[in-house]
Amino acid sequence: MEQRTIVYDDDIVRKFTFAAIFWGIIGMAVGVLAAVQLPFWQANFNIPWLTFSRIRPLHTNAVIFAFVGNMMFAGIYYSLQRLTKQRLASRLLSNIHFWGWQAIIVSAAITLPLGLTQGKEYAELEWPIDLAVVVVWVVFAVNFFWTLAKRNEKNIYVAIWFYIASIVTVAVLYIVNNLVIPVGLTKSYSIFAGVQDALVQWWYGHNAVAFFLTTPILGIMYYFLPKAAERPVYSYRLSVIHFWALVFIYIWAGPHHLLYTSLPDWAQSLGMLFSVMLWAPSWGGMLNGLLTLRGAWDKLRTDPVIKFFIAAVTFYGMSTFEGPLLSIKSVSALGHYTDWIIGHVHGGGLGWNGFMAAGMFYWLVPRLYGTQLYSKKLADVHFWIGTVGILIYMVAMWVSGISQGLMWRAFTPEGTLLYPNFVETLLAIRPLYIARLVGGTLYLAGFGLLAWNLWKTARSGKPVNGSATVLVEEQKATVTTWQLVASKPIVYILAMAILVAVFGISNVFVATATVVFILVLAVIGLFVLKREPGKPGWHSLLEGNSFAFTLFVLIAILVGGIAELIPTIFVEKAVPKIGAEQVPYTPLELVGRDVYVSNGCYTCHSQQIRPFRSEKLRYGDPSRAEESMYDHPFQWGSKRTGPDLARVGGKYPNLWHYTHMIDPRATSPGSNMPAYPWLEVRKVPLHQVPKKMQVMQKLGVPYSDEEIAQSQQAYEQQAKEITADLAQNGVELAWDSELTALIAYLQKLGRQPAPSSSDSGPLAGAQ
Amino acid sequence: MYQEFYRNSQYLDLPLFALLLFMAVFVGTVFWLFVVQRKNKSRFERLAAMPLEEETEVSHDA
Repeated sequence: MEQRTIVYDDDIVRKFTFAAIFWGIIGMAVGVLAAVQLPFWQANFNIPWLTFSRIRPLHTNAVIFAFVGNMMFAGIYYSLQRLTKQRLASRLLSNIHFWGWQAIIVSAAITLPLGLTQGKEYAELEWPIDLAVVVVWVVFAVNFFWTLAKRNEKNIYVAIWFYIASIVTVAVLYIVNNLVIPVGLTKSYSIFAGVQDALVQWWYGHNAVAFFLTTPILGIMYYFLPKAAERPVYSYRLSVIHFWALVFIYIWAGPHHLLYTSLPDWAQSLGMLFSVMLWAPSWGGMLNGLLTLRGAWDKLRTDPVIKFFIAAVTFYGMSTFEGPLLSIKSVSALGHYTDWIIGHVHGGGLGWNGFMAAGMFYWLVPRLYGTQLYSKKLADVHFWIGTVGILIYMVAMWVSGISQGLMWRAFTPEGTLLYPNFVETLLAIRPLYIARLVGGTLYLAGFGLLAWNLWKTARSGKPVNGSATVLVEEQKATVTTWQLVASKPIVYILAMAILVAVFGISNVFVATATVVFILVLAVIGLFVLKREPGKPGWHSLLEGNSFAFTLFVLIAILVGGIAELIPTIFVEKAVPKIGAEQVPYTPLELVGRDVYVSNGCYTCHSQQIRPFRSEKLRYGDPSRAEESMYDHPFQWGSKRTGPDLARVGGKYPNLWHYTHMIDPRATSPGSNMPAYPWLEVRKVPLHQVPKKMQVMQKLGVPYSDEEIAQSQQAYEQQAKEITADLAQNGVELAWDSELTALIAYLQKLGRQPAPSSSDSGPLAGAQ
Repeated sequence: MYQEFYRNSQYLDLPLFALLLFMAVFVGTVFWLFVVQRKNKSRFERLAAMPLEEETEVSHDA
């Protein structure tokens, strides 16, 4: 036994804390600017990089990765050191982590408004920044696990389990979803296309919510809530179930973002099933958090930290009730693509993440500076402003979303659409967009108070570091990782799983025999797994072995991920093609698609018609999987602020599209779409066209070498046909402008492909 | 019914297997916590109290 004094590295915690507050204000302010533009489209001042479709990705990336990311790192580094009774392993790695992360955020803040994007939600960053994210994440992981390996505490507290799950899973998700082939430094194409890309994206997208916005914050809850309440967590057993159930279930829930799309039905059903199952562990965790305050509810009246934490946990409960509800197919039919989803997301984002961050900062900053909070009253004002802001926001979006959903599907007694003009639904919800703006602004104002309060708090004290005296035992290597992995419980669980699988797929006789085997094995298991008195149990040993623990978490998330993705990755076998062979985009249409992606059109327009009568009447036949088979990336979208575009091709003449992009209200009175006049003057870099087609060829799009060699000529020819058509109507548009390419792309959408024949290449028949 | 389920893809035994594995692990975890470990209350109480351990403050320059 040796007595040691550990001085924690809280400098890095201070840095991440104030970075989170700074980026929180920026990210939320950008959100408010985006919210202004929905009822007041003029608020982009005709500047491309201030336009909704460019700043919406900036807002989401800033609040997720910059605000919550920095907050999460602060919370993890603070609690990890205390729970392991060990100073962070490397100050150098901590600083590389901090400055690297800030550099990534700055890069995102520059590139996203410029339209440099992959066009996939929350995964918009282009490949050089993605590489930087991976490097910084690895640095973080090394620092984390190195500290864990050097710990002076035998057990690994449940908060650290949540951190481990987050680190491992985010790494897997981020790498898989961002697999691309670069065209240049600022442009790349996803290796997945269409239905596969959609599944991989929402496997990532939903789990970004799960493993970036939820599990690390749950870890923070399990550490900071007991701290603030001065009570141990209500039930440690419940926290263990909460952890394993979340890790196993969450990874499956992604397809609930794709209900009624052309994703295979089995995947949609699995996504829905697992999403509904999430109710149980989520509410178990919420109750565990709330009941931690047992015997100290009086603090709720007096302590702003507790107010924020309890409100945050309550919002967590609300969001995790609403999420599974929205995953039920019949509810999704109404809510998907509407503002209901926006309300749901912000309930979680503002209520759960934002209030957890506020509670943690109000608790943490006075301790990081050895002083008292500057003003409790100000913190109380922040709490109430923030709460009222969230409620206004959520209620406005609920009403707006349900109104949209009902109006889109409303019929006249004669069976036609009651609101055939999409703009009618938009005008109906305009007051709610203004209410949402009020709610968001209130929330931002409250957060401004937090920044002021904590700045004054920091100024009133001096930076201090925590310290603890620990008794260090000599390490005894009693059980190796391999012994743990190959131990009886694992062999037993695998045997049971195999038997259950055999039961599931076998005929009635084998199944009956299997049931008998399962029962016998269960009885044997009671004796085999009985712990010897005085010796630690298997899970206790596992908790003490961070490597083995991490391995099991990795297996848990990989099992779900692989099992869900593999069958759809091989979708050519899983989904039979219907109709004629698909024709790839012409060079002009391909470039037009890039213009569409770059300008963030997917933030307001979907390209996926669901199999409902109302959608068929409004947009045309339901979308089919093969129609987007050459779409790298897919552009199905998740929100309809404007109408679906899957079959817009050929619906209007070229002149309509030109006019619509220059002045949307000239063709659609009442529309809130911003004008895109810059597309008319911006030139397309023609020299990139063959390179883009070569990359597409590598990805399996059937372009011939000859077509690639002649792509610039083909481009010019098709573009000049469009500009000649416009010229007949008195409009002069340069053939090499971005707008010409975009018109060509929009005119291609949903067009029936020409029948394939032996002598027709991909470019044949394209118009 | 399972023939209908498998008709669209030969790989659909993967999600089925994973679902069953999850169920096995979940049941196993609950069993371990509330049956095998039912007499180990003190251990869980000690673990639950881990965040509450005391610490002191030292100057940042120290």
